[in-house]
Amino acid sequence: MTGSRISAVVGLALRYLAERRFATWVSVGAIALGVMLVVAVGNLNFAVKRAAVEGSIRYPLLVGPSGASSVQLVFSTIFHVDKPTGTVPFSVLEKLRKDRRVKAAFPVAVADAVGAYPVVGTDASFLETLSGGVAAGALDLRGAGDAVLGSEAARRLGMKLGQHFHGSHGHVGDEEAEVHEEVDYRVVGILAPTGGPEDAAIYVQYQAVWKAHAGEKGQGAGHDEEEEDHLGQGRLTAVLVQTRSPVYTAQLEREMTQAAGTQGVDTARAMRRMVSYLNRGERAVELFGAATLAVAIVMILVTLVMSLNERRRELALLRSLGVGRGTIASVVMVEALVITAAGAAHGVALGHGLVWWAEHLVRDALGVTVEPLAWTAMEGAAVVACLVAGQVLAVVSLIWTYRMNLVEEVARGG
Amino acid sequence: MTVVVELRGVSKGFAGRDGVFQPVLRDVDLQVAGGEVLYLTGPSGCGKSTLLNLVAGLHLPDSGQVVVTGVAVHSLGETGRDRLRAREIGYVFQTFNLLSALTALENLTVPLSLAGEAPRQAEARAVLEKLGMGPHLGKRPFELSVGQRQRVAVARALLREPAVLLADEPTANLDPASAGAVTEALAGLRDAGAALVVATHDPALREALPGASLDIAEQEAAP
Repeated sequence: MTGSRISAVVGLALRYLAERRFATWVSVGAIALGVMLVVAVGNLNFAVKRAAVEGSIRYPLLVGPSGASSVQLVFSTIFHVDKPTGTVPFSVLEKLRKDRRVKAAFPVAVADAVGAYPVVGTDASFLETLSGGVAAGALDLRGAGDAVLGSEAARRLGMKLGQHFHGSHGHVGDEEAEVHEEVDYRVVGILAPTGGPEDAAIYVQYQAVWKAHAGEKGQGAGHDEEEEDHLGQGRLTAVLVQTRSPVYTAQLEREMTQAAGTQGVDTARAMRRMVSYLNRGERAVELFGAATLAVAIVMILVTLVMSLNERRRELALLRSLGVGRGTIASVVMVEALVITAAGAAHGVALGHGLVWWAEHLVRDALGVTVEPLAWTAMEGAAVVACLVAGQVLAVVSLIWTYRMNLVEEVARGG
Repeated sequence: MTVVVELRGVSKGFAGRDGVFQPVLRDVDLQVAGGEVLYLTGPSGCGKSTLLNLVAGLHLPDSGQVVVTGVAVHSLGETGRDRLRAREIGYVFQTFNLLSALTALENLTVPLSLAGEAPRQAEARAVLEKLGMGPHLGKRPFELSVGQRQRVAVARALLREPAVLLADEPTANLDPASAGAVTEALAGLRDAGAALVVATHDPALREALPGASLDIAEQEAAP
């Protein structure tokens, strides 16, 4: 096909699309909606699974208070969402650190927040397990008020090195939270972004958390009764454990669960359960997205066929002017491709826009930092599916065009 | 003069809605040379348009031969007939002559490009201006009167400088001024050496542009 013929085919196809712009935009919008859902769910799914895998690899065992669900413990301890379900004695950490099966154990004491970001009491050894390293300052919690901020927390709170701040009683989102004046925190380090829950956390000494909560019992300073009973000097909300082998993980999980007041959680198993819950929702949205795409594609086909019917006489006229069937069909092919490609492009843009818009909601709900611009395999599949559907529609329209008796239209037209 | 269009013993019929075959043309013979005009006459439905479509290669004869510019149309494949139409044949209908999405000027250039020919922008503009369509080059068909649309259709045929012009009631429903412009354009094409085959009921056209006549109804009635 020559350049001028290609230009004429594309130009005529665009003119036809412009002539029925409402139907065109509805078709593009329907495709975009389906692709947007698939892109957004794929992006979120990717971020959650990545965080789940990294979390379970980094800390194979979690020890928390008995009675809570394992998923809830993982949410509160690793992702820093959801309230801790109680506390365990500090002696649990000491005992685990002495156990030959344990490579390392880290304290976690979560009770406060700064704005939307949880204050996590721990020690410097925990910070060394974080994969991203430090972006500014040092990974150091030597001073009583030292604080190391996740990249997202620092950025959103506008915190710089050396800046002072106070935590608030209660967890993220607590309306009755009161500012802790007891401990004056100072930013000594800012973590490099990792895409994990640490991006949105503020790490301080667990002793500082104890200090902040010392002497509060009975004062009713923003804690509910149960928390006040539990979090304080010598208590932790959980202990994260790195074992020397998976066999030890299973043993310790069993032992911790059998011990009074504690339970061991195999984080990999809990993550799998969590991901399986998410997968159900994900599949439902994926199915909805796929169904939307299917409806959109049927709609495009109907629109194209109706449009061809309306244009029978014009197509016949083109035939009488010496324009071949293949060229006429290629006009329709271009129309189908423009609609599907425009729909896919808009869907990709809207999907990433939706992820960008929902970034905070996802982080607050799941403790996972999503990357709005990340490209996932599912997204690629959705785009390819759209373009393939466009080609299939083009072939169907081609067959339709070939079946039309254009000469009859010429005769009618004349 | 060289014979440009020749039909030898051409018959054509169609299956009716009841599935019964109905003959439309029987053993038609005709010849039209370059610079000549042949009028097809007869009542509506007698087969005038069918004959034009046979010459254009849009229909194939059931029997007989159709030869245009020395090429046996009936033996050509579909692509060959498309090419022949694009290069040698101009076709003007009474109505539905234009592509609604395109402007008057584009109605001349885009079909040429689609058929694989050069778009010839400057010539297209000149032909339209010659037919008094200069002020309307950028208008789309719905913005033009019936007469103006017909002039655009004739201009499109002229632009191709066809060896054969097929016209089906080209002046029907036109005001006298538009009909005059169309007639003048057809005369110009004839004078340039094209063979014109025109189906018409318009005596004014036949008077202004003299030519031979073939009554299709009589042909059909012939044994």
